[in-house]
Amino acid sequence: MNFNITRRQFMQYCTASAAALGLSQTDLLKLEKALATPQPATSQPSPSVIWLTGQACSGCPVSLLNRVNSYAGNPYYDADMLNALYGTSLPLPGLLGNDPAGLPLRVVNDAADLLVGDAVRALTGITRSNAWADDVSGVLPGSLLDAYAGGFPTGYITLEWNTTVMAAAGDIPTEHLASIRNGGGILGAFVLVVDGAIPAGEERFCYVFDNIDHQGNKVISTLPLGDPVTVGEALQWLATAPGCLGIVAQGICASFGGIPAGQGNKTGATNVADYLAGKGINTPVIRVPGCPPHPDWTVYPVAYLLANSTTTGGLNLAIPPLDRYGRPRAVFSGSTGDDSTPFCHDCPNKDTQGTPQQAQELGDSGCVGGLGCKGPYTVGDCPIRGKNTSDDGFSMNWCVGASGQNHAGGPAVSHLGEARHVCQGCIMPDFPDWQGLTGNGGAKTSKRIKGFYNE
Amino acid sequence: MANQTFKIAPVNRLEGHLDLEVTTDGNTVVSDIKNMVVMFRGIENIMVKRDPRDAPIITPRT
Repeated sequence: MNFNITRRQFMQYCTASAAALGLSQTDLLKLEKALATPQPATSQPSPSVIWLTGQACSGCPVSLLNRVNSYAGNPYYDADMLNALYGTSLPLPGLLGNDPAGLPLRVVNDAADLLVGDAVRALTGITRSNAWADDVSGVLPGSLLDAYAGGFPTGYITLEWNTTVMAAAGDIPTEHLASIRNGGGILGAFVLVVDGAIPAGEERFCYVFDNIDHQGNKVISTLPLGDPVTVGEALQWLATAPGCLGIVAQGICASFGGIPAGQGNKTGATNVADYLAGKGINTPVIRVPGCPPHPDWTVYPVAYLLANSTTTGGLNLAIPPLDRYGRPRAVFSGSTGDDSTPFCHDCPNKDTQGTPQQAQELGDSGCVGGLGCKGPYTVGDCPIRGKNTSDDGFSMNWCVGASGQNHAGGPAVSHLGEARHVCQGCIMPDFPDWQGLTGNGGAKTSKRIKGFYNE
Repeated sequence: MANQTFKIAPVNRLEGHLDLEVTTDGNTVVSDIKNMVVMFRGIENIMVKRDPRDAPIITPRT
């Protein structure tokens, strides 16, 4: 059935949600102000991204939102999620529909726009004022970006659907999702981001929406009206859309199965690529593992897809070069650019003489390789990129050691803190089924993903 | 007025894995509400027979 809400009801709903989240009166006021004065869609619309959530926690979108928020003006990572979630300090393009009073409902919360330009700037060290698309690999004539005649002034993309950040619930956003899937996005195209594993064994273990839109019509025509739609069904539906440019499997669960697919799982959870292969769907999947992934890792493939795919003579996809794990090579290789050199090569705990000081117990400084660190079996740029990268390009710290270098090209900085933890290998297919944390857990040949290891 | 039942699925802000089924008296009074968590991973099952030192790696990621 239809569930028509008035603007007043919508506001009340949002207010109740905000109260449940523990927002202060000030935050509520900001929220109300933002909702009461939605800004018109930009004249240069941004490319569409649909973010589907399977068996996931909220870590992946939260990681991304923290990144976005740093660019909103916070010099340090105080992680003011409110701004990011409610868009009070960022532009709010993207309107959808009208309520009976004729006022637009802002369904899509563009605070989660991925700030493509900034992430690419961070990757390349090119300053923000440059045309960001050039930062990727140049704008191809006839590419999706070229169609905007100069790219996006803000560098935003439009996140059309993400249940964690969108401002509406129920059948209204679902209708919007269907319109984007069916060609309503910019140039009829979209990039699909998926976080979370897909329960292939028992699909009923994860539902994402009901198969009825705001008009009472089916969302997916092949499924019964009103029935809950599993994430697997939704994934197939989206992946087979003519406008689906590609899939970014966000996080370790979508990339390699992750924790839901760990030993002993009862749901038959699997990763996105394997699930689609099992269904005979060959939409390209880019794996962006991590628990959670660094936002740069996420944004790079999205930017690359949009910058280099062309629509001339049909859709020509441009997948960024991948390493042997199916991850974007540009962001998952360390300083060696090699997908078989473990990140110890870049680890600050490595002594310059090649004989690292060995930590005897967790909390000691020095190499934690004897304590179960999975660094020797992990290929990534974590020591360089770090985590919690601030606006000036410095990372605050990362799992293992001292902070990373300034990947905008400057010198390494003295760190704010050392985690001195062991690497858990969260960007590798074996996570979380390595041997125990503090035993000297060696590499095991992957059971789930065959062919990735040579040994 | 007759009772009215409607469903809100998905509920936003909660990562989407929550449905609400609301029954009203047809006016403004909600007489019943059911919530359904529509995602299951079985973290407890995944913890079985695992090195206990793995627990702090796995359980926070739920």
